[in-house]
Parts: sequence; structure tokens; C-alpha cells
Amino acid sequence: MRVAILDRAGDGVTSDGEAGVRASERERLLRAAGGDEDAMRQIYREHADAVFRTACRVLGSSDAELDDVVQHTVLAAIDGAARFDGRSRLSTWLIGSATRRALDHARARHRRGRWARLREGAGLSDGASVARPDAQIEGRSLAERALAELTPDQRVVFVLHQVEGHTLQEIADMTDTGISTLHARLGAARKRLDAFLAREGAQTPEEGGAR
Amino acid sequence: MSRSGNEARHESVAAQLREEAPRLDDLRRARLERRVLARARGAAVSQGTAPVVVEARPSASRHLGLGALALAAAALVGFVVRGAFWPEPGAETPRFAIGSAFETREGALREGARIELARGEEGRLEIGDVSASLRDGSAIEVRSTDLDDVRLVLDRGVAELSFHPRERGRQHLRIATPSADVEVVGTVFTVAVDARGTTVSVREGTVRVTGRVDGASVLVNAGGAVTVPPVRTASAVQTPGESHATAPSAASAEEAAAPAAEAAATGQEATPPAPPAAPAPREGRAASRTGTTVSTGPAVMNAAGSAVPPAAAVAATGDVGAPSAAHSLGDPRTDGEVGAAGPRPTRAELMVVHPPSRGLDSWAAHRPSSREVADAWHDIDELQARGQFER
Repeated sequence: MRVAILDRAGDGVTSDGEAGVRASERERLLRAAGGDEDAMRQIYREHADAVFRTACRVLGSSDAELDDVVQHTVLAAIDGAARFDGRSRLSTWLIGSATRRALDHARARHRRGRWARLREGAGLSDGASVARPDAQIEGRSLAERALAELTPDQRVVFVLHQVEGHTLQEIADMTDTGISTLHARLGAARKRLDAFLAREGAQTPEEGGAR
Repeated sequence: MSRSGNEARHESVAAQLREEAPRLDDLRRARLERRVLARARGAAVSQGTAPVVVEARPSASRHLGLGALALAAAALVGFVVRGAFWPEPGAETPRFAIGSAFETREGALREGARIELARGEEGRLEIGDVSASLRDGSAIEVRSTDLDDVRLVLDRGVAELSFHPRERGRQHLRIATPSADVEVVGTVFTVAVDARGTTVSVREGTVRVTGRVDGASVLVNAGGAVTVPPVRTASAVQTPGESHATAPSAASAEEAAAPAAEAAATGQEATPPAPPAAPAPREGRAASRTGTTVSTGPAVMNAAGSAVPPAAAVAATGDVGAPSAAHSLGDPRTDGEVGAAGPRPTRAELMVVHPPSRGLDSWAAHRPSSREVADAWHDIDELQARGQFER
């Protein structure tokens, strides 16, 4: 079962109650930007878990950058309070911001990984590993290992869509990526997952449950 | 493979990921909150009621400009002060120096810089309040030169680090190795990476070491050492102290050690907790964690590990195994507090936020939950912000 899907930005179906929540979130964000510590604390406490979870899934649970991503996401939200127009929930806005930041780190590491693999192929490897920090953990679940198989871009769309239940339109707004690109990435992610699961001999829940 | 079968597998993976959703443990959340508030507060103070400005990383062009400028300055200094191995103290620009019997090199450090020392070479880094001496054969990368959050990656070799922050609690130093993350508050310690894993030996202060594989954390006090093996095995903690023939239970040992270690850190006399109480440590000696076994995980590392440098010749008294169910993220009894004082407030701080009339002994008699500790931190922050309390 997917989690509740938030209103699409700009689709004009926001209820009065929802509009009130967003106005209240915006007002709190502006107070935080003005130096109100209670507002800062409330924003952090309400959203730190979701931001951390998002960053964790993109970067891996033992990445040294995780705390930085959480910290900079919250600070950037306070800094950019004026840019929050209330068209989406604050949580969606923050998760989008955290996703972009985590993605930047993950892409950089992925690029370094490609270069390292090239060096390794040419016999120039220095032995340094640039994979996800948790890529070597033996005790990870099948799902975690499957996620680590995906490229950062594929991982983001798979996690946000399939795991968190966001629509592709929402993900497009969050990540500034076109829907067709997201479709292609999701398809590629699923293919890669299929290949991995087939290699691992994973069964469907009906056939015996995921390991 | 049928389409519906594949979809079921995708959904199964997604469901498993939802079930295993990573979460911030309370102490980490509280620590991050302090950092966020401190930064946001600092920005707000400097700008009145204007919006908070987030400290941005320098752009690539700025990096290049600053780097070129710094290199030119370093070259000039090199000519003028020929033979000087290290620049004048107090320089804020992060710098490095590498020397051998034949030549020395020095210059400015930039984020992303990687230093690899050959045999016979020694090196030194200085980044704000952090200084690191590198032994020959070491390889280190500088991930962040932010003076409030210095981050280094030690791939191999030995780095002897000294970190005396001017603003304790605000400035951080983190060293990542292939098998562990080392987080520092303010101390002098050594990190060594070799085939046996990562060994952290602490001379002053306290260091938190987190296993990269299992995520288990341990606080290492002055005189102690911890070795994190390179593969999924246990960690061995070695601290100076008497060897107890009968090991107390994990819970009692933790409770006993916490206030004692706290007192050792603050130089105060410890109030013994509820019996069985551990003897308060004498000045200059770390609290003993003798016999503290936190879990029953496989203890692979010999507690008499030769990984401890000769300067830290300590009795091998106990071990901390791989995390058991009781040492999982989110467990307030053990998060970040394996066998010793965690990042809890000191007694003096608790006296402020929970005055003696409420009963300070109650703090000593029970282990405060992570939420209580986090709340205490917030109260301390509030008092500090009002200038009514100084850490």
C-alpha cells in the first residue's frame, strides 16, 4: 500500500484545510527566517526524519555526508523561505531539496566510481573504493542490495515513486526533471532490478517471499 | 518472467524498503538540531531580522582563484623562509607540509586535496584548530576545510591528530577510514589504518568511533584505544585500569561508568550511582570500562591487540562486540553510549537545567532517556543563548 499522495502542485484542488496548513507552514518558515528559534526548532523536529530518510536512501545509510545533507537542507529552507510559495506541502519541498542535494553527492561519487573502474580496467587502480559506503555491508537485506544496484538517478525515482508513493508529476517538480525522463529512468531502474533479482534467485511473495 | 511477476517483485522490494525505513536516532537528531540552530542563530544574529544566509561552498572559479593565490603566497613564503618546515602559527589558511631527509614542500590545502606520502616522508596538515601529523606511507584526503566542520579521509597509514576547538560544541572534526568514522569533540588522538583495520588511540579528551560496517558507536576516553576490524567482526576496546576478575553486568557497568567518566572529563568528583557503584576515577585517569560487555557478538579481535601503539600500553580488559538487538539505532539505553558516558550533559549542566531541589541524585540513579538528554541540551542552549550559562 502506498502512502497518501499529496496534492499536485498547481492543480487547483487544494482544500481550505490544506490551504490553511500550507499558509501556516509558510508563516512558520518566515518566522524562522526572521530568527524565531521556536519556529526553527519546530521545522527541524517535524521534518528531520523524512529528510534524513530520503538522503539515506539516495546515499546509503553510512554515508559521511548524511548529516550535512540534513543540516544544509533545513538551513537552505530557512534561507529560502521567501521562495516557498505554499503550492506544495513544506515536507514535499524539503524532500525535493534533500533529494537534489543527496543526488549531487551520489552523482559525484558515481562519476568517481566510473573513473575508478576505468583505471582498474587499465591496471591503474589505487585500491580506493568510491561505491556507496554501505555497498560492502554483508548483512544488508535483499532490498537494500537491490537499491544499491541502481544509478543515483534511477534510485531517486524508484524510491520516491515506488517506495514513498509520490506521483511522477510531484517528482518532476521536486527534481526539476521532465516526466518522460523520469519514466525512462523508472523503466531502466525496474529492468536493472529485475536483472539483479533474477541473479539472486528472488521469488515473488506468492512464490515464497522476498529474502 | 511474467510482467505481473516482475511487478510483484518490485513491490516486494519497495515494501521491504518501507519496512526498513532508516531513522535518525535520538542523540544524532539532537546533535544535528544543535548544529542547525547554532548555524541559523549565528546567521540571524549577524543579520538582525534579515533572512538567514546559508554558508555556501565556494564556487569552482573561486576555488581556483583562491588556490592560485594561496599557491603563489606559499611559493613566496617558501623562498623567503627557506628551510622553514611550517608556516607561522595562527595562519587561518589550511596548509600542508611534506618533508623528507632531502626536501620539504608546503602549500595551501584545498578541499578535495589528496596527500600520499612515500616511504621516508612525513607530513603535517593544519586546518584551523586541527593539526595532523602524518607518518610515512599515509594517504589522506581533505574533504572539508570548513573551520567548523573539518573532514578528512584516511585511506592508509597513521595520522596523529590534535584538535583543540576554540568553540567547543560548535566545531567538529571527522575522520573517515575504510572501516570507521571517527567524530571528535576536542582531543589529541591517533588514527591508524592497516590490514587489521582502524585503530584509534586517545591521549586527551573523548572520541566517538563508529564502525562503518555495523554502525555501532563507541566512545573512547583518554588512555583508551579501539580497533575496528576491516571486515564484519567485533571491536575491541582497551582502556587503562584495573582488571576485574568478575565482570559486572553490562547495564550496571554502563551506569557505573557514565558519571565517573563524565567526572573525569570535567575534572569533578563523580557521584556514585545506585549500587553496585564503580569507584570514581582519580584525576588524570580515564574511567575504567573493565569487563563491560555490551553484546554477545563474535569477539574476533584479541583484546590484547598489538594494534595499540607503545605509548598507549594498556591493559586489555574488555571488548565491545558487534551490535546485538539491544544496541540498535533508536535504543535510548545504548545509542552512542556504549559502556561509557555518552554525549550527555555534565553534572554541572544538569544542575542548571534540573536543579538539586528536583534531586540531582535521581539523575545519577537512573539513566536518562535520549529524549531527556535531548531536552537537557535544548535547555542548555536556551540558557547559553541568554548568557545565563557557559559550557
